[in-house]
Amino acid sequence: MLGLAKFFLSIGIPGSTKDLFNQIESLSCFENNRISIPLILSPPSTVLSLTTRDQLKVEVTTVLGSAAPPLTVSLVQAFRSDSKDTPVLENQELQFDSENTIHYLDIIPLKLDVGKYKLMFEISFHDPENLNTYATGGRTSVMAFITGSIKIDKAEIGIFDSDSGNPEALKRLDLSRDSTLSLAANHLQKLHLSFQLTTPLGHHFKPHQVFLKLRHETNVEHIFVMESSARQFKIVLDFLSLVEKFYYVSGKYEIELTVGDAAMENSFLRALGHIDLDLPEPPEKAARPPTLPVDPYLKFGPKQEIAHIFREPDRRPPKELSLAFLALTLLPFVGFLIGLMRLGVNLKSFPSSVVPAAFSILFHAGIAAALLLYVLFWLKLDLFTTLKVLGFLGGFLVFVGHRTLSHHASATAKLKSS
Amino acid sequence: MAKSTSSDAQMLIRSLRTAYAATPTNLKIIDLYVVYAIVTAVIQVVCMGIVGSFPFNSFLSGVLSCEGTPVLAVCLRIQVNKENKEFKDLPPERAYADFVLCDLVLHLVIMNFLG
Repeated sequence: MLGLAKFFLSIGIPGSTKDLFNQIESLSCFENNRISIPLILSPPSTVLSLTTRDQLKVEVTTVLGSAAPPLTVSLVQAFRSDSKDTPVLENQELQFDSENTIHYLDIIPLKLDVGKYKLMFEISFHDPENLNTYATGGRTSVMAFITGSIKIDKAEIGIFDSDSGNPEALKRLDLSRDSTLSLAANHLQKLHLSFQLTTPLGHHFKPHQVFLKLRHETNVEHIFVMESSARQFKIVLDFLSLVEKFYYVSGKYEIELTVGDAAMENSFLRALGHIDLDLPEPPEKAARPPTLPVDPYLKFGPKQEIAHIFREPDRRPPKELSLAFLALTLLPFVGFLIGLMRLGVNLKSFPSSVVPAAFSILFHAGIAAALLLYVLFWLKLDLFTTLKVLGFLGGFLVFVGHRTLSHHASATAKLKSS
Repeated sequence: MAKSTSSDAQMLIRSLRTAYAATPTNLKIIDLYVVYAIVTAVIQVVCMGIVGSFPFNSFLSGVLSCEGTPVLAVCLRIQVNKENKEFKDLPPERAYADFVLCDLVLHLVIMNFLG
């Protein structure tokens, strides 16, 4: 029952008005039946922000939105998306705000960190009688995001000579705004960049996207993914091994850092400055850098308009020709009638007494009615109504025909014997 | 040689005609119906050959109905013919009822396909 109700609620608005009516009618059937009324538990919003100190809110209503009986919602378990076995929270009861009829829970004191969570709710009624009238479906699970603003600190960037890490050469960066560093390196050196990300609760945060991009003046771009160790994010670009990847192109490269995640409220893309790379001359067989189009966004502009040519309707024959052929087709029918007359067709064995005559007339009328029904079917009706009417007519015809023909058979038998 | 074959042909035709005149009227009616239906079918095919088969399903349903009813009529003729030993015990009214029923079903299908 609950599954059906959820299906009807989740299909959105169907395309045609007839389907929409069917959907609403089925939902009202769920609302007003005597067996078991499904109760839907739904959160008004599934993204909770730590910075604005949101509360976890849940609404329990019937399918069409009217109020539910007094009940308590409890959060049975909450799992983080990366640790599916151990629940982070267990058995919290949500408080009820009767003004807005919402159950809520304050998550700030619960010390939940940012991330993606799967929450399992269970409904328990205040009045045990209601268990028979309402269907809650055991545990409902809801996906929720808790977002917050991530702090970035201890960001450092520097150029090293290979194999000699020199901590004093690192420059501190402030990643809360764009910087304009100016670095220079040749192919024997390494670029070193590192920073730390912490959540509002102080844990180490690992976002989905951490990229460093180097873009040359000719718009040739290279993107690197930063690795994360236990406490910080770090990348070391060893230009000696990257010389081929950079297509041996020297010059000024712009540096950009991108950090982003669904649970992060302050994802950013920062330009950090530029670096002058001095790479050796390309050997004979080196790959050329790909030549980018002048404006790469031209790819996304509107395409050429396609003039859609509908299939030409086939040439119908001219009207006079069709009428001529209609007359030609009816000609054999006339020939048939003439032939019948020449053969001396008669209605001599048509029954003369009343009852069999009536049956005979009904039989022929029935056949004529069936043919008329077919003409109507061609012009207007659909197969289902036709078959329905034909069923009745067929039964009638069988009965009447049986009577007529058996009478005729007995009459001829009498004639033959006498 | 040619003359004798042509006179043979004439004699053949003449004997055929006299034999045919002896068939009972019932069967002659059915034969006439068969001829009518087939001629109508031929005319429809000629018509399609001239103007092209645009509503192909209509053409098919027309031609097939004109071929289906003579088939059923031939079955009726076989069953009604008194000289046919196989169907001696079958009353002709029963055969006629079968013919009517099958025709009704055939026409229902044809009308459905006519479009």
